[in-house]
Parts: sequence; structure tokens; C-alpha cells
Amino acid sequence: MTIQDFDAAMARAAGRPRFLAGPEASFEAETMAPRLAANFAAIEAEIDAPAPGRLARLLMRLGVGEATVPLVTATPALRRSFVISVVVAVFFALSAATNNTAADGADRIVVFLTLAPIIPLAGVALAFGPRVDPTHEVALAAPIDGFRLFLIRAVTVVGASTVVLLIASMLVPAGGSHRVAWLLPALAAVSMTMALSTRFDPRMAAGVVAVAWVTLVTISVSATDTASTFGPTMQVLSMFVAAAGAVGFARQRRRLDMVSDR
Amino acid sequence: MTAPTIAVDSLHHRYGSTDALAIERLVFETGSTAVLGPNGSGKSTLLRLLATVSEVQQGSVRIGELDPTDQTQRTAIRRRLGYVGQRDGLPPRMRVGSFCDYVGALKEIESARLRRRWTAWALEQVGLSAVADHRIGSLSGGMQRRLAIAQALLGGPDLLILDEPLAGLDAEQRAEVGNLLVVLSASITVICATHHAEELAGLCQRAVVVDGGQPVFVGTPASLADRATNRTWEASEPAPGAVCRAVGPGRFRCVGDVIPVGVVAAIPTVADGYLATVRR
Repeated sequence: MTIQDFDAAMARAAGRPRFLAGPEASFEAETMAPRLAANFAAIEAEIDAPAPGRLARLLMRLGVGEATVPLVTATPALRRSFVISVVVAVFFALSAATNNTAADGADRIVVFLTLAPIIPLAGVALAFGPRVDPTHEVALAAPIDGFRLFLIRAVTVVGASTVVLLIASMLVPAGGSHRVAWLLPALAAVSMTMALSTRFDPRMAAGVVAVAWVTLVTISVSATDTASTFGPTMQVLSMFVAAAGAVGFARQRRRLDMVSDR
Repeated sequence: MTAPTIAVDSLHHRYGSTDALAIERLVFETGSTAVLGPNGSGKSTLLRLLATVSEVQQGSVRIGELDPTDQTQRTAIRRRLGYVGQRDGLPPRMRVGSFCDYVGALKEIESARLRRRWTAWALEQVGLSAVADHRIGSLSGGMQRRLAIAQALLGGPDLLILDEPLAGLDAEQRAEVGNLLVVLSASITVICATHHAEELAGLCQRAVVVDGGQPVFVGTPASLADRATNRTWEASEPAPGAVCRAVGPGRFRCVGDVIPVGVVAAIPTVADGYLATVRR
């Protein structure tokens, strides 16, 4: 899209009867030279332009491109429910981790480490798809790559929830270095959810991954202990799952471009 | 850029085990076309396929020379396309200007300054410049429908596909949107689906009637009306076997196979022709 395309459209528009804007505007459109009308419209647009919001300015300072900023800043506006889910989930995670007085420190950290990866998962589930995004069909009919849009939204919500969870993990009273052992499993869970979202509704994909994760942890903890469950084996396994999910997501990326009614 | 002709060949579409569309050949010429049909007739499915939103399962769709099943060509089609779906796709909490900016970014208008200019232009086209900083949820139904059309105009498409653009609008709003469509179709290809036969078909150069997933009429609105010639009458009571609708106290307008003895034939309208076409 170039300035020449815009000028051409403006010139065409200036030749049309602008009945909706009233008789004065119609007279103006009929008498004004197209180029002059285009210039006036450009000046009006600049004068009337709202100042970019704080988040948009911050993102631009951080080097995020002009084309990407609205895609990021629109995500929280579209996904207010995501912010609520993060806050509620962190509250429950911390509450479960700190108020379980009958349990020892290891049990508390298990609760936190089990619940933490589910929070970014919920964010991804609420960031994309026809059932949660009113603009989904508008986006499908637009030239933007569905893969890129999903990725931008996922990075936004996962980034936000990771920051919240890292702060929360510092507040967990026990666990030492195990406090951040949720990071790689969270990455794996998000990666698998995104891969499955190319075929299924993201909410269903996230639900399946969350159930699989909780089941895996429950079986592992009952068979061994916390240190073993979230130890090196789990971390390495998570890395492989994350890589497999990323490959699957990239390979099936075209499925995000259209709706399959089959 | 010139407004494209759209050709559909051997197009079959299913939802699970349910047949939704079966079209052997259908061509949409440049200008404006109304796609008419009862609820569930396949209008929206057809428009979603033309808008490249749904995947073509069987057969072919060509937008100009472009094939939507090819990813590169699909993106090229989308660069020329404005689409308003059956649901408006408007997030109620966003502001009108921010929403247009967002859709501008989806349409790959990379410069923020250029997006602002497109936004101002599109809102002006639909008469919404004054509400650019309002929240979408605070707009009336008619204004929201016009905003949906404004987002479709961003980027200057030469193909506009609108699903039920008159749905939920009062008489004045329908007139406003109808006028806008007439203006737009002078320079770009406009395809709109509706079940309000009279209003929209009267505004478009051509009409396609879809019933049971198949096109059962393709032609001008006048020729659609002709289908009810010598089959339309008004009487004081509905006639068995005819499709009748009340047009006044004690007056019914009917479309049937044969005009009953003793009543006078009426001049058929597009709506009569439509009823004569889809009448089962």
C-alpha cells in the first residue's frame, strides 16, 4: 500500500457525490479539484488524529514497527477477559501455594509449578479464533498472514503473563531454584497449543494440553517427588516438546489463513 | 486496477455431511450484484468462499485471473478485497478510529500516517467522521453497519463483498446504506447477499437467486420481476397454493401458478419475482 494508491482512491472519491455528508459537502466535492480535496483530507486527518496511547508509544520506543503496534495494542482491547484470567489464575496459584498449611514446602511449590504453565496457555486460547475474536473473519479476509497475526498475539499474551508469573514465583515461600521450573513446561504447553490450534479451536487445544499436563504431573509426583518431577528430565522433555510444537505450528501455518468447513 | 469479474465453476461445498452449495457455473460481472435467497439457502457460504474466508473444497473460484487456493494469489485477492461478514466483526469497546487503524494494519497499510488518512477517508465516505473517537458499542445499529462498510473500504478495494448489509437497520438507515452501495458500485464490483429482495435487488444491476445451495435465477432485477408476470394478484383473502403476504387491511398480495378467476393481475415487483422463483 503506497501513498500513490491512497491518492488515487482520494481522487476517485472526490468525484463521487458525497450525499451522506450533506449538501455543502456535495457541492464541495463537485467543485473542488481532486488533488486539492485529497490534500484537505490529509490535513484534516493529521489534525484529527488521536495521539498514540502510552502502550503504543512505549512499543515504538522499543523498536516495534508501525505496522505491528496496532496489532499488539489491539490485543488487550480485544482480550480484556485475558487480563482478568491472568489475575484470577495468579491469585489462585499463589493462594494454593501459600495457604496450604498442612503441606510441606515441596507440596506448595508443586501446586504453583503445576498451575503456572496453564496461565499463558489460557492467554493463547483467548487470543485467537472465531469464538473469542469478533474481528476474526475481518482478519481472515485481510492480506495479513494468519500465522503472523497469531504469533504476534501469542507473544503479547505469553510475554505479559510470563512477567506476572515471574513476579509471582518470587513470592512463593519455598522452592529455591525450582520456582522457575515452570518456564520450559509453559513454553512447551504454549507451543503444542499453537500447533493444535491449526486444526482445532484454540480453546479446545489449550484444554487438551492443560489436561495432559496436569495428568502428567499428577502421575509423576505420585510416583517420585517434586525435585524429580520438575528436574532435568522434565526440562529436557519440555524443550523437545516445545521444538516439536513449533515445527508443527510452522508446517501447518496455512491452515490459519482460511476456515475449513469440512 | 480494474474491478474484477468473478467466475465460479463446479463448486461444491459441504458442512460435515450436509451439502451447502452445488454450483456448476456462475459469473459475477463487474458492477453490483445482489445474491438473494431464503435463510439457509447457501448465500453466506457462497460469499465466504468468494471472500476467500472459507477454503474451497471442490471446484474452482476465480477472482479476475487469481485463484484463492494458491496462497500467493489468495493474498493478492485479499489486497483488492473489502469484506463485511454476516456478523459485523466489531469489538464494542474499541473506539471507531482505533478499530479502523487496527483493520488498516491487518490490510498491510504499514505507515501510521497513511492509516490515519485512509481512516479519515473511509469514515467520511460513510458519514461517520464525527464519531471517530466514540466507542463502537455506543453507536446505533445503523452506524455500526456503516462502520463495518467503512472498514471494508480501507485500502481502496475494487471488490466489495457484503453479507446482509441491510440486516437490523430501520427504513432510514436502509436507505442510507442503499445509497452508499449505489455510489460504490459505480466504480468497484459490489456483491451483497440479502433476503430483502425488493430493497437490495432494486439497487443492484444484477440479481442471483440461490435456493437449496444452487443458483435458480441469474439476471437483471427487471427480468426477475418478469418471472411473476401473470402470476401476481391482489385479493381480499389468501389463495390456497399461492404465496400470499398482507399488504394492507384485508388485502393480500399473492404469487401463484394461475391467477384465480375474478381477480385482476398486479404488476409484478422484484419481490414477487423472487417469491415466484423460490416458491416450493
